[in-house]
Amino acid sequence: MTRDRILPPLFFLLIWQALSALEWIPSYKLPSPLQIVGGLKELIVVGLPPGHPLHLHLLFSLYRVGMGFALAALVAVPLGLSLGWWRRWRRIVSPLLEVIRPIPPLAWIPIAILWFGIGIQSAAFIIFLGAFFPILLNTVSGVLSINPTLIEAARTLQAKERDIFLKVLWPGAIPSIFVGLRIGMGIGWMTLVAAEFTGVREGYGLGYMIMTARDIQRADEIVAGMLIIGLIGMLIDWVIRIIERRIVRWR
Amino acid sequence: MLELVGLTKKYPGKGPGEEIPVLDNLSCRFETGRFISIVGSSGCGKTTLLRILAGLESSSQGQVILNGRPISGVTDQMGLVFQEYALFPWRTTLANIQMGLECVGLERVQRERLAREYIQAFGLQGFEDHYPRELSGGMQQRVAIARTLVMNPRVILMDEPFASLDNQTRNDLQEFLLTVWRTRVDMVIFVTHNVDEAVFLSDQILVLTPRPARIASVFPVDLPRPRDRTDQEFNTLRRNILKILKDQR
Repeated sequence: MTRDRILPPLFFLLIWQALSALEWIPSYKLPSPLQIVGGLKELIVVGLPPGHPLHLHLLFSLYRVGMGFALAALVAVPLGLSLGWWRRWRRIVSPLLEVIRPIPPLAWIPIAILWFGIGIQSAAFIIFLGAFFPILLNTVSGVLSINPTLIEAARTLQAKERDIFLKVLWPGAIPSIFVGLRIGMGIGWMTLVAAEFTGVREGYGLGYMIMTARDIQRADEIVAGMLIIGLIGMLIDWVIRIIERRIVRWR
Repeated sequence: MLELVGLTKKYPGKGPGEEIPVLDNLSCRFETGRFISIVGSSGCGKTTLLRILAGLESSSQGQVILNGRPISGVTDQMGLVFQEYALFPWRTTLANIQMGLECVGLERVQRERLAREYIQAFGLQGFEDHYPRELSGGMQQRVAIARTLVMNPRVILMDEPFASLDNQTRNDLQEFLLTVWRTRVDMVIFVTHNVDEAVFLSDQILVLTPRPARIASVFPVDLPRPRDRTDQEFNTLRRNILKILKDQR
């Protein structure tokens, strides 16, 4: 098991390093693994632009994504529960959502800048849009997938509408809500970096950091930045999955 | 006493103005203290009748009168036990039994004490913190019955509650249900398509016609308890009921 997970990537890296050393892969296009490690070290120690170290870029990105994501979850989950429960409300709101949903979050950037200016609000708004729909749609389908007999059982046990929301719909939809949270966080994280490509002109942010590396033609730092984005994305997903397993113990 | 007065139910059909009759003018009365079974071919409307009694559906015409008062909608007088248990999968045994008590706003300490009493009485000790999927079918159904009974309803309605259990578990639960009925409830209305079960349990058996359901016949069961399934009278009664059901087809 462990051998299958470690040996092939190691072999792959060795070949890559060898090809780079033989200059079969031009390093200004794709740096060697060792050069990328060097780039990463420079990002951490020196920073890019100098004096702007990696951990601050990361913190700012996490802050933006955290804001946008938290806001999306806070709006999408209650809205999703209500849309799942009241069919009429769902019929009224669905067409509007169906039109807005296919608009890519990045297509909102110009209007976001017009509304919020360049900065945290714009970026958070773009993340919000990216995370919002997966959470909303999964919450709705979570409610719709609840066995109707459970709702009837609750009613015969004297549950009022409020009890049905809090004691049946909410816990019943939680597994599906977590699916939405994971997808939403994934899209939000991807969107964030893209939003920072265009939406952030100065200061901090992983996307901004990578664009700066491109401006000075540092392929090693570009790839190192991409790797960080991938690793952090994976880590966030892993954390949500752990939280899910703690909460949804009954499955 | 529970009375059905001209109880009628029609569902809207596919065409405009079309109606599918399900219950046709059912009238009867059940004395307090009785164990009543309702049998009939599948799809005859037994479940619909039970759902109307539970308040989950309304009748098209007619009334349900409990101890002199007409009832409509869900009331705390009626408790319903579902065929597939309908336990909340995210709640442990203890929490499932407390669901109804929470809904009526009982204090935490009181409702936990009550729930634990029922856990004792229902032989569920040691399984308080188990989730439904960790329990056997028989145990799940006991939790479901406890959850209904802890609300202290006058009448307990049961919709083929033992249909998906194996024979041995079903027999055990039948005995258990009789004890529960004698000690804790005024009346049981038990829907089943298992005639043997009906004869074993009931004081009175109501046989319904195929849809739309009317009352085909009412059998009083005067056999002494505990009943012996191999007893001659037991089997004569079974045969008579089965004959009615067979002749309906």
